[in-house]
Amino acid sequence: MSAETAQADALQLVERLNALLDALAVRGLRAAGSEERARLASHRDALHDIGAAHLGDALAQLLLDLDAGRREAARTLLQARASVRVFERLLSLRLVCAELRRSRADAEQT
Amino acid sequence: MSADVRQLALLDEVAAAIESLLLGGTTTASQATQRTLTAAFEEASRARFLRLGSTLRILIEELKRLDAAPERFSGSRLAFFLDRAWLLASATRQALLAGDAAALQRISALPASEPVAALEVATLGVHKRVMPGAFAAFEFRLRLAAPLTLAETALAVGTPLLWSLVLPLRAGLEIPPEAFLALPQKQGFRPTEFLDKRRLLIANAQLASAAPHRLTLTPESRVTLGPAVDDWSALAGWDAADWLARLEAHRPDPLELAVELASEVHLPEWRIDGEFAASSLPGRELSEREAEVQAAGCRYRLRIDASDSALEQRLIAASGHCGLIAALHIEFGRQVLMPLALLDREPEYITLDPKKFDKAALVRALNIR
Repeated sequence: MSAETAQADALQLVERLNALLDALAVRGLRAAGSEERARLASHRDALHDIGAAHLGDALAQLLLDLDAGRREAARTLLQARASVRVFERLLSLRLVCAELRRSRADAEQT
Repeated sequence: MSADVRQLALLDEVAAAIESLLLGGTTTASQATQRTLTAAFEEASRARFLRLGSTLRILIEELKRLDAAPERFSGSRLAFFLDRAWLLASATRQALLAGDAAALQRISALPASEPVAALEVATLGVHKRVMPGAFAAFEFRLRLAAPLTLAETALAVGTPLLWSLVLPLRAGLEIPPEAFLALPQKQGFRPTEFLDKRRLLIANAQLASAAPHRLTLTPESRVTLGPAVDDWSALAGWDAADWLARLEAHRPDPLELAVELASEVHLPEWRIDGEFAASSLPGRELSEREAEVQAAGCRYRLRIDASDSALEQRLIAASGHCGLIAALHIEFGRQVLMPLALLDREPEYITLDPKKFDKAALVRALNIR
């Protein structure tokens, strides 16, 4: 798998994760049921699989806080979302820069 | 600089209110929470925490929309501004405690403006954003038509500037918001003069010292129409190599907005590949439509407001026939274009409704306002 394909797949993962975290924010963390927690766990594992351990760990902490009913879950969610945002920006920059470099190289060859 | 105890308490209160909202959910957001956020907005504005204040204002509006106009409520937009407000409050608190005046300035304030005795500009395009029953915002994308020295920095011809005009709209308006551009401003000019495709000579204004160079008109400002622009393509010049260099040098932070790392692009040759369709981004399926565009060896997403079918048709008709002027930013791995104008020998401001409006309806709207 090329680096760009992996980055594009990671961005799709981030899009799905954002949608899940948005829904949690609107419904409230105290309302997070087994389905939401299972989806969080799935995203946690997927992030670890692609090497985004920092993000995976953030979701792992969120799950622990939810399971323990801790108020800190809100802060953990906010910190996780900030990390997800930076991750998305980094991936986006890399993908777009690669495309721009490729188009410039193609233009120079013709 | 010592940390102000009252300011720290305000920032703690904002963070706590947001955390409570996240725990309990926005549908159960109590009146007390909304009052706390409203009081925090007023206090943040007084303390000159301008970015936090404007973010809290948007947050409060979105919470009100949940009750008053649930069909226009967006969970993803609310979540975004909850994050943003919390990050701004936390970052401001850290800067205050650390006594870091530079960080505080960066986080809390808008860029400084410098007085300008005279400048010459031309309008390359217009970005329009309408919230029915609330406001219409017109962002005139200008280019310097003559060199300018601003705070000892030389700005060349073609430097992008922008001037924003925000108009309140009442519900049930019968005329397009563009009709209000024909009304004279307090300085005596009509905003429609910015659409005459001529140079504009502006005196006694203010200009932000850093890009994006935002133009502010004061009561003493004067706007005069100048001669026609000879060469629009020269004003609209865009350097793809510069754009790539900016992207490569950029270090993202969680507070940045995607549209803040942006450029204004002139694509002399472009074409729509396929059809417009509802946005694939969660929460935007109803509000935005997008199409794939091929230009200069790259693929872009061309994005418009879902309610603007006339703009969609105009872009489809223009594809492959004339140049496109657009605001460009990156989002989820794609370069996103927001159209500002078409460019042939001169710009066509396609984002504005060209239909003639009923002047009697304008007068009625003014009388009711």
